[in-house]
Amino acid sequence: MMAATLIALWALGGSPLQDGRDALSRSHFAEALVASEGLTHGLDAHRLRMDTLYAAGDLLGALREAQSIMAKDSRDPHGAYMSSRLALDLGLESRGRVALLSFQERLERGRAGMAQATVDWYEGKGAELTAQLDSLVGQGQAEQAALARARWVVCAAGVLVLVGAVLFARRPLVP
Amino acid sequence: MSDSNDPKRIDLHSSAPQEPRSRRGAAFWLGAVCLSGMGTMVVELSAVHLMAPWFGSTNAVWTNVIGVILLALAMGYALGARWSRAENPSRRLVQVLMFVAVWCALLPWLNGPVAGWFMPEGVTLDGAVSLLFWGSLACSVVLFLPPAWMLGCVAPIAVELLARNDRDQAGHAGGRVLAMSTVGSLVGTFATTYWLVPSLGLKMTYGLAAMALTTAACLIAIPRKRLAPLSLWIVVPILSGLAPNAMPGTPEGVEVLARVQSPYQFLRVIEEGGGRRLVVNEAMDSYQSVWRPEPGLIGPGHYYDYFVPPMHWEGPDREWSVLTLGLGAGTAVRVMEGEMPRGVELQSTGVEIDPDIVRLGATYFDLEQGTPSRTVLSGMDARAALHLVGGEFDQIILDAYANNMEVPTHLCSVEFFGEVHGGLREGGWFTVNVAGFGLQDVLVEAVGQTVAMAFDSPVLLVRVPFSRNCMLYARRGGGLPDPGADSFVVGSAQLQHRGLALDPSGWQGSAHR
Repeated sequence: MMAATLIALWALGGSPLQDGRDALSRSHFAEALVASEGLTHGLDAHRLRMDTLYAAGDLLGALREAQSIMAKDSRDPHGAYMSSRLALDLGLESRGRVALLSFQERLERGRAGMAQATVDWYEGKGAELTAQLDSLVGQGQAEQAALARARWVVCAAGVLVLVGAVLFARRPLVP
Repeated sequence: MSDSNDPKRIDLHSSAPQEPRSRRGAAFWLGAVCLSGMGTMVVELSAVHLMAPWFGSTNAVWTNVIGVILLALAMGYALGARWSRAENPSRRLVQVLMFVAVWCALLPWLNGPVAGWFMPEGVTLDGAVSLLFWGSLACSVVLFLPPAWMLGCVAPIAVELLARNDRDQAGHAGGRVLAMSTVGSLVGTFATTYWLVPSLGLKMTYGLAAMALTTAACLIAIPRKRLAPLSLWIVVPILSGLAPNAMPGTPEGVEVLARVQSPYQFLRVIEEGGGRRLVVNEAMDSYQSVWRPEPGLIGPGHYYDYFVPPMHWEGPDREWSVLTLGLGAGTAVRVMEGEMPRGVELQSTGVEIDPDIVRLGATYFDLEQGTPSRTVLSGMDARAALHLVGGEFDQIILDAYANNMEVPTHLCSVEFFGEVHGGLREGGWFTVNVAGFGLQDVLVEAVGQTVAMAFDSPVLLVRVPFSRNCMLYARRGGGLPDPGADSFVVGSAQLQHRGLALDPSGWQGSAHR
């Protein structure tokens, strides 16, 4: 009874997590970040900060928090999902690939304990991320190939000019 | 010492000048030299415009083009010197001019595939730095080295022909050739920049250059009853007329409403998802101006929205006068128009150096001009305009970029920012769009420090969410809102509702001095 009363009183007074979520819903990012500092559970703090920084458009900051979540909780697929999504949105191919693999492993391990709708949602997102990663890899390869081609053309032209100049200088003047 | 037994050698020093064999021949050769000089400059000046949709027109691209053409000319001078010793160098000269004429006509055909080979689609602006340098250099080598090489042969051969014809001194013949070549280059330079490219476009420009070189070949060949160059009068117009307007592809769902080659850059108006963008040169994932059907805030990722806060922080009574340096198609003005505080009228003066952007703005971006409250100074440099307009503004916006990513240096100095300071009324606001990946970006810090120095007061730097931009706020006298204070949040419920979130932690404001 006492415990229930205490819990009720605590709930009425609001928790930092709830305060932070409320502030985030009103786009009051400063309040949300301050609230996250009052959270004793590390993962809750990282999650609130990740969501706040993402909403505020600080994708790199949100990625840092997502990777902290991924490192601290080896079971939750959401941190890995957000890490992958943010990294790929920022064009960070290797970080995105690592996070995507981790996300797929965690989803596989944890699907038995998740609602089917949640599993389906994650699988759909996973397919999108895979396609995004493939596109990023392909784009990177195309850029590297174009760069290599350009360098080869320039170097080959330079060599041809030098060789031509040497041969030209050595030919007799009379045509 | 002369060798009179060698029939191939002409002794230029054997006697006093005699009657030239053919005055008309000399005139034709000099005419051909003049036309080839013009052709050289047309090719060189148009080259960057031709590559701009893929590589832009930065200093690096200009340097690559000029460097390749200079190298090619040097090679041509050496080869031309050798060919000039032939028994009949005029035949070689005709062949050279015909080759370059055909090549010029083919350039619009070759440009797209060659440029696309060195710049794939879908490259982002921040990922393209190496490709812009190496790609433009390789493209210059493939497209412009061959014709410039051959054009370099013209002068030495022409000197030899003149010297033989006139039994002249090499210096005298050389001087005349150089003079005519330079006159032609002068004509080509001014004509390309002020007439050919802006009025006729690149395809016609190269077509006309090809016809000029064909004329030069005919001037030399026809008196000798060689008629082969005449065939180019048919071939060149066909090649030029059928040449494609090659440019980078556009993704599905994107419609190109307009394409314009201005004297400064290649412009496209793109419509996608109910909105429009003005993109410049290689663009990639960047844009110069944005349009939405309704004036007002554009939404996340667009720095224009953040020009709005000062007039809400201050709360003017009747009017708010704004000078926009780097008006573009008028996006900043349109955003502010839609978010004016109740009862306040916007008095806008905008400066845009590219008149074609202003014309596209009026047609596709609802850019209003020519009314008492909407003045546009078209074709004028921002710094020059600042001196011209005089007066004291409530707000000066600086949003001037060249080549998508370059800040013009004369618009980023302590002296210029001092002039801006003088153009503001007491308490007036200076807002600057600074491209950068965060507040620790080198450019963002440098601009912040420079403005703080010029204004002799702190500045406020904030990062624009979901973008590669930061917004700088400075003020002539008067304080800046504290990012940690409630006053930093704009008091307009409408702005809050529309998503202009100004909570400081989302922006990480800082003060420089």
